[in-house]
Amino acid sequence: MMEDACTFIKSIIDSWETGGDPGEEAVLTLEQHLKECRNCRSRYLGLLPLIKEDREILQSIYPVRESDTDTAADAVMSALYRSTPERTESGKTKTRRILFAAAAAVIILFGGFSIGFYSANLRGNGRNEVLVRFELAAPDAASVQLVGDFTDWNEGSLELKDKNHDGVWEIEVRLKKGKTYTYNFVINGERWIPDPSSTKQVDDGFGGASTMLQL
Amino acid sequence: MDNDKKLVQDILSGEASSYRVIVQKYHPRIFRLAWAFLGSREDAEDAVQEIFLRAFRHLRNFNTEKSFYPWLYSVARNYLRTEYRRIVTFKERKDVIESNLQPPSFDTPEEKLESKELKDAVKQSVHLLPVSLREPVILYYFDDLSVSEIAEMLELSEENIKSRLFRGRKKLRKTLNFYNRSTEKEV
Repeated sequence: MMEDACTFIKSIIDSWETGGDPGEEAVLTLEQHLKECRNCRSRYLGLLPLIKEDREILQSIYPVRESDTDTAADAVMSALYRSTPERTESGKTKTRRILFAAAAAVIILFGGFSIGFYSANLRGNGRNEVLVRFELAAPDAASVQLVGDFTDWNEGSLELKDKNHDGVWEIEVRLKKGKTYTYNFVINGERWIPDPSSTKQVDDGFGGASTMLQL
Repeated sequence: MDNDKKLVQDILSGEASSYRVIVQKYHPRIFRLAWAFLGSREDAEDAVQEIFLRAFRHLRNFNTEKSFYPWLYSVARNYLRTEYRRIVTFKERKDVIESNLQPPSFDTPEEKLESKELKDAVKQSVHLLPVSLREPVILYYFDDLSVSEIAEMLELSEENIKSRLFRGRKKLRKTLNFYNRSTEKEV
């Protein structure tokens, strides 16, 4: 009799494995049998929460406490939110938004032709390079880096400078003509943004975008 | 208006504080996913913070006409895949888990079906699955998504997902079969 019951239980498991829904009655039968039969218990008990799709048990396998969520939220917001409180005329404190750059521009400089107020001519030296100026208006940023495939996506190697202290960060980089590059700006070492002035964006593989530059 | 959509619009308008609401809403699910992927609560804690920071960085790229959670999941997924490879090679992980995979006690008929040992065994068995099978298993059984929702999120066909779930269940059944590993013999 027990053997027949075990055979039936095995058929329930087989059905579940192939994607079938055992049905409530079969699951109850399974549960009861596992209490009575040690062999089947050792074979199938681990599958029971999955077969029952018992959310309570399944979620208890990876328990998440309310305090975990609060701690994580505090940490995320702390990392994100850099504020410089300033007094408005009403006396209330208003936090400036540093989280979004106002504008950016990439000025590409070719020999004898320039967009912007700076030019460079590299043709004479025989190198197939152009001098590219990257600019980003980020008045509330403490630092701005340029990161791309030309830096092996390493942060820290190309730091933009706010030379005129007007919130416009810039850097000039020699890149090869005829090549296509992808890059991001990194604000305050933690916030990656594509170049807001360019519509040529590509998936960065992390659910976001990088900017594409064709020279 | 969808609440997530409104929150995202507020955040993009400069109300960064609204992002806390999103973090608190989705943290349990993302944390559970990270834990299931990486196998360690501590690794998951670090990962989940980084995931939410990355999601914030790229929030402007989110299409507010679509659901937020699939997009957030894609950010999480990309990060978790890289982290998983970085933390430990699969072989090392497999060896460690298998050496620690102890059968729960099946001696007493009254033992609780929800014993900690059993939960640990299920958890470890899930960790032993290859990523291609673990992902749909986690989403289906631990994140309570349907086959069609999983297919949409992973950009795979429903048949593909069903096939992976089948193979995942098959492997779990084999891993969780402690009958042959029990040190006690049947009398």
